[in-house]
Amino acid sequence: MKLPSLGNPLKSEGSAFRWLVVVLVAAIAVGVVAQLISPAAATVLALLLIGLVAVPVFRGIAHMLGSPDDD
Amino acid sequence: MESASIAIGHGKADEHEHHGPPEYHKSARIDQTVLGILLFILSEIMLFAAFFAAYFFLRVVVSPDSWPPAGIELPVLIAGINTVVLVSSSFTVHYALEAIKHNNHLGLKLGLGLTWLLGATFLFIQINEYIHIGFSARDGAFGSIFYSLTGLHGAHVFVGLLLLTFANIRAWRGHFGPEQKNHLGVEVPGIYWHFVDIMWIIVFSAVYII
Repeated sequence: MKLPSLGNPLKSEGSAFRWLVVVLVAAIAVGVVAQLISPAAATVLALLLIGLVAVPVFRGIAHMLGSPDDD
Repeated sequence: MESASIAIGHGKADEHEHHGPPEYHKSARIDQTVLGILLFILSEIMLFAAFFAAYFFLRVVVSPDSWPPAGIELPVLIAGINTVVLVSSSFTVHYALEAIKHNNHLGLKLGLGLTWLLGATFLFIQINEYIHIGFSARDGAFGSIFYSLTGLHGAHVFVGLLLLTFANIRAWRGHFGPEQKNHLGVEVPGIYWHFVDIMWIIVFSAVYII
């Protein structure tokens, strides 16, 4: 699972801004589901989206930090 | 601000100054200031996560059938307008940075000034909402967690406004330029401001929408 166009949100203001737009779009999707289906379905969607984003972010940070043995 | 803002540079200057293994207090993989800002943002995320955990525990486990409690109606429309105001401020700070990258000092001042005004408007509307919302932090678990979560975010907006105040003053004094090392004082508050806005989008979605 890769998000090559987004990159590390701490790398630059531009990267953080792209992440903001992604979160905004995701929040709108969650809001639409909450209104049209149910708050429970929206919560499930939100958790799914957080999981989708958290995995590549975690991997990216882990890769950036590396292992203490690398020093 | 400048020391934190070097975070973006990945320590390129050190590459030419130091060869061989890194010094004992540094890593070969990550610049210490990058690590610093990373740990800062991660600690902030954990802080908000603790408040969200409390919020959803109260909502799902403690009071699944009455959330919000009877008689309490959240001003979703006003909070929605406030969300638009805050999200707009992310666009203006992004515009400010793009302007200074193109040596447009007027655009920088305009963008930073608008960002500050939008952030201040957000805080003003939120305080006004607190005054007229009709319940306090003492009114049960809902009142406590509502004020805790939104107040925590409001405190972060206040800190962001302080950072933007310094950035505005420096912009009017002509401290910034198009080269990256000359506008770090805008870039780092910009990253922080986007983080604060992202957190508000999540707070708004959880508290007002879902």
